[in-house]
Amino acid sequence: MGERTENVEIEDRSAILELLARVAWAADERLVADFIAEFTDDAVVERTSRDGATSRWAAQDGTLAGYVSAAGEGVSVEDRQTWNSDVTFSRWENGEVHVSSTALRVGSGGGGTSNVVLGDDRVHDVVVCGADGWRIRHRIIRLLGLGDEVGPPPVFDEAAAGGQSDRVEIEALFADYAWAVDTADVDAVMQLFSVDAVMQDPFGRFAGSGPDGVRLFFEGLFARPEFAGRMHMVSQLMLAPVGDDYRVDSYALVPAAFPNGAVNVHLLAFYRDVVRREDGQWKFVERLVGPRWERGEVDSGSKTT
Amino acid sequence: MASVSAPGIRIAYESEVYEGADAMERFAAVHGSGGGVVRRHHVNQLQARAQGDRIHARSMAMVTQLVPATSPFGAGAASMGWVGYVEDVFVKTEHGPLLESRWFRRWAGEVLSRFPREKEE
Repeated sequence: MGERTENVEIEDRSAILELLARVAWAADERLVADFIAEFTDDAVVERTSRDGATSRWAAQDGTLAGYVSAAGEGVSVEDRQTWNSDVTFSRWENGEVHVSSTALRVGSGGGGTSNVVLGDDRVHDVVVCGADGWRIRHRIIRLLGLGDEVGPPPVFDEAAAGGQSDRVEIEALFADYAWAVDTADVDAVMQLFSVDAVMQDPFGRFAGSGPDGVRLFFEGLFARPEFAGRMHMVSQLMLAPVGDDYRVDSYALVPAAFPNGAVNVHLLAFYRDVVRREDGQWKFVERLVGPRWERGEVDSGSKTT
Repeated sequence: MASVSAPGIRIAYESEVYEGADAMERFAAVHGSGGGVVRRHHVNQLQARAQGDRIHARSMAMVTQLVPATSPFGAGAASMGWVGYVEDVFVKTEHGPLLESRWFRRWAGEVLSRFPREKEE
């Protein structure tokens, strides 16, 4: 394996985050072929449970597909989300990139409103870049409670740390949205939408467009006392170029804090967005929120469940 | 933590403040895993702005935890234990940004001041 070398450039980090997102979506949707396609031909997945037992699935012996069903064992839920957060990267002399992340798993039964934390794992991935892009060669999953060995601290490289990518900027748009919505700052929210934006929220039974329609929607939302305390956290962005725009599918998790300190997982939902760069800033052109959409559907607004 | 922390790091959880050489250890002893309790801190939705040689950031945060293995009820089950936000200050150095201070705050009070319920209270 050799030694750790330079930092991982932002373009590679963005591509690896996209890879992690595709793997999570494929596993959560139980799309076995899509899941396997994100791994190398010699890939291995190992998972250590709290009793210390390690299960192993390998591409070469044809068992890798078994991980997809194994990941959902133990509890019956309508839908689930597997997050990857707090991701660190380190590049090694042999070209491998080692990626450490946490993987919160949440299950839902009841259209996204009856939710349970299934687990919160530590995931170590070894990823390699081949002719087909980045793929996972080795994934080690350790369940919470087994000790939390994070990856090595990143090597700082100012040249690699600089730069920008569409993904980073679009993630910033999502962060700005969450802060604006969760602090009821309607003017800040409006800065994030194009003037011809369309907003649809089947949960709120709302569909509106243009600045007046979008503002009306959020003003109505912020007037509801029960909305205070909810936090709109987002993970696993998958970006698909559509002309100069991107269609972005993402996971949303909405925990709610109550004045007495209690917390629940209020909502598990999915965003489907079209974002566009206008005057140097990414904005929402379409924002749909609802239960899971079929993966293949690309027409905005065509929710199926 | 030492490799990403500035000397003299200050950690606060609401009004509890941890400072000095062993600030991280004392903070972790109360708020981290240990004594049969297992916790994990997550941060996301980060917003950051540079200000001179400092970077000011805020992130949404959540802490998951496991019911202790010794509990007769739900031992080993995971749950959401806390949500809130963190306000961070990083200092730029030749070795990269280092965390100078972190303040854990509940999702309450100031951040909810625009909502009608908070105004009425």
